[in-house]
Amino acid sequence: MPRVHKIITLLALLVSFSTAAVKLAAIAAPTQDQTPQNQTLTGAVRLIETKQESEKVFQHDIVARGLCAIVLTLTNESKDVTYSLQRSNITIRTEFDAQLASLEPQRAYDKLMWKIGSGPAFAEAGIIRAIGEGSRKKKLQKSVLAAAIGAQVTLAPGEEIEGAIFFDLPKDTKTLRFSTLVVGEIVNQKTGERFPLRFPLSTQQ
Amino acid sequence: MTIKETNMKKGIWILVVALTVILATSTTSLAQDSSKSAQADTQEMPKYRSKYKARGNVHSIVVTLPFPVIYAGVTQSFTNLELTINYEDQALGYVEGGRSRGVSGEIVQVWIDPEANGQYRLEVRNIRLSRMGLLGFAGTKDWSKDLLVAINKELASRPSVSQLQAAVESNPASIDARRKLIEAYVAGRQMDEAVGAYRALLARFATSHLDRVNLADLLISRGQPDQAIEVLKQAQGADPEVTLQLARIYILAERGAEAVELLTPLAQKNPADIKARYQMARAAYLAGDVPASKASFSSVIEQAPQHPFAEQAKLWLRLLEAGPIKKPLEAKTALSLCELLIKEKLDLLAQRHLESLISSVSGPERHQVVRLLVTIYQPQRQYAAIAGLIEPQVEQLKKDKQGELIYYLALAQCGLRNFKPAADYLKAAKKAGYKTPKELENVLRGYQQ
Repeated sequence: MPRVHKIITLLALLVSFSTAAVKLAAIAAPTQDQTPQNQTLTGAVRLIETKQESEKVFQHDIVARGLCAIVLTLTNESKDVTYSLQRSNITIRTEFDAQLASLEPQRAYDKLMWKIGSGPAFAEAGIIRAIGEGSRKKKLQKSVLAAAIGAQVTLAPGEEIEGAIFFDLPKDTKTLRFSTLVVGEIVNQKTGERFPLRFPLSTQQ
Repeated sequence: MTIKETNMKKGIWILVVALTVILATSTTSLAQDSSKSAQADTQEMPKYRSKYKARGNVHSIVVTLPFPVIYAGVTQSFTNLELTINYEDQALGYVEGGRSRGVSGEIVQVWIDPEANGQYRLEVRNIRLSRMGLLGFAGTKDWSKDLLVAINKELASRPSVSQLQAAVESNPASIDARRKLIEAYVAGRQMDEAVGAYRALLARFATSHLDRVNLADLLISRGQPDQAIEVLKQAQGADPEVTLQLARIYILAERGAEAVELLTPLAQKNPADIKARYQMARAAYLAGDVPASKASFSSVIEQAPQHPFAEQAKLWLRLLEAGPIKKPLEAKTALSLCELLIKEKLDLLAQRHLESLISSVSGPERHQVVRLLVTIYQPQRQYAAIAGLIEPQVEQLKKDKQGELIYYLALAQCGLRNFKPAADYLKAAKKAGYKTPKELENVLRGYQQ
């Protein structure tokens, strides 16, 4: 089976598909968190909910597939404290208190992939589809899977992490600009203290 | 022809020959692999004809675990095998995905069917696709056995409730062990045990904000807002977010005056806090203080006319024109109020109003009450309640062309695993003018015996 993959990759290279490494775009005008005063952790978020933003950050329109994302940046400014958090504890709380759970990155990736069997011209475009499939897979693996924040994040003193968290776009909500990203729990490994972090997404109005 | 063009042609020919050689060797080895895999299949997990006709030949295993655990195990196994999931329906226990190689691929379908004694049968069907004839087929494989092995492995790695209980007993200082136990209780729908475990956790880790909020949410989902208030009250203090949540639960518990008492200082302390002001206006209306409510909603509109709160505040003001809330609620007022409450996730309160209203309304008003109740019941998986509401009226609904409500009935029957009526209602919904999703129609075929 890996050989078949190699063939597809080779073909993809033949037609010079652009699969340049994808890096998350620089954060412009991020919103700041509300960290407790005794903690030395700072953060910023950027909401990705339009086609333009999505293409800029992920080189792909995730919004058309019913997804949105938040790029979270956390910086540990302390010299001796390690912080940790779990992705499963990250949610969005809308202005009307609806709670949106984050998606597993793999599920987000799945939603962006073509549907097998009855997707756009499955196998009818023959080799062209095969090339497109290989290229798309690679691109999404780099832009979506690799950009996602880890399931378990540990921030050593002085360290900074940046990663995307994916969500299903709620059908009855026009925008998430008025919502809040809630990191349900951050653990200060030195003192054992547990505290939430909240990032209003509103400054991007 | 130039030298450059000749070289390019040569290069292409070399490449084509090289690719043909690689493809031929890989095809041979893949054919061998698939025959080996087929042998293992027949020995360990024999292929058989499913009792559901449309599924055809399947492989299966039987497991005794709570449904949410199995479902999570199945989706995780797709991920572990790098199979894409294209469609899933948790209410039915159906997952469909596979792998595409462009010119060929496999569709993998999994059905999780309940059997007797808390057991579930997992049936897997693998469909090979090719647009390159035999050459394409040779590049495909049967994932059935690999997937079932992966699922077995995944489920075996998840500890049982008794193992988790033992872990908590041996290490009571571990918050993670306690959380895993709670997660298992919730997955197994052992809600009393989950609440007890949360209380035990909070007795030891009183500052765990996450667990306190989660317990409050769990209590609300069980229709126990008063208990949720007691849980959150203990965390009330410096965190205004907890105060807002507490006020929200006071509203759910129909204790509007206490919500106003809690929100007034918050709104006064920070006049820019539009959320506190909005919630105060809402609480004031539900507590019967129309002038205070009107003033606060108007100031929200003035302060942030582009904010969704302003749009919603206008609807509240329209409701306020009818004067203070009086019980029993008049049907029109109750419907407008419940629409607002549902939009603002105050489902529990809306549910109470709607359930008391249902027996006194008829015609379009009844349809609207049912529609709103369904939006509350569906996320709670109260399928029997939905069926009980809609089924007696189905003939009338057909006449009234209420396709959407018939569709909800079809979904409820899916949840109750009554697939024959589900398919019939789906057809009826379509006939009544509702655009039913094609995916569901296809999936339901897999449940026809």
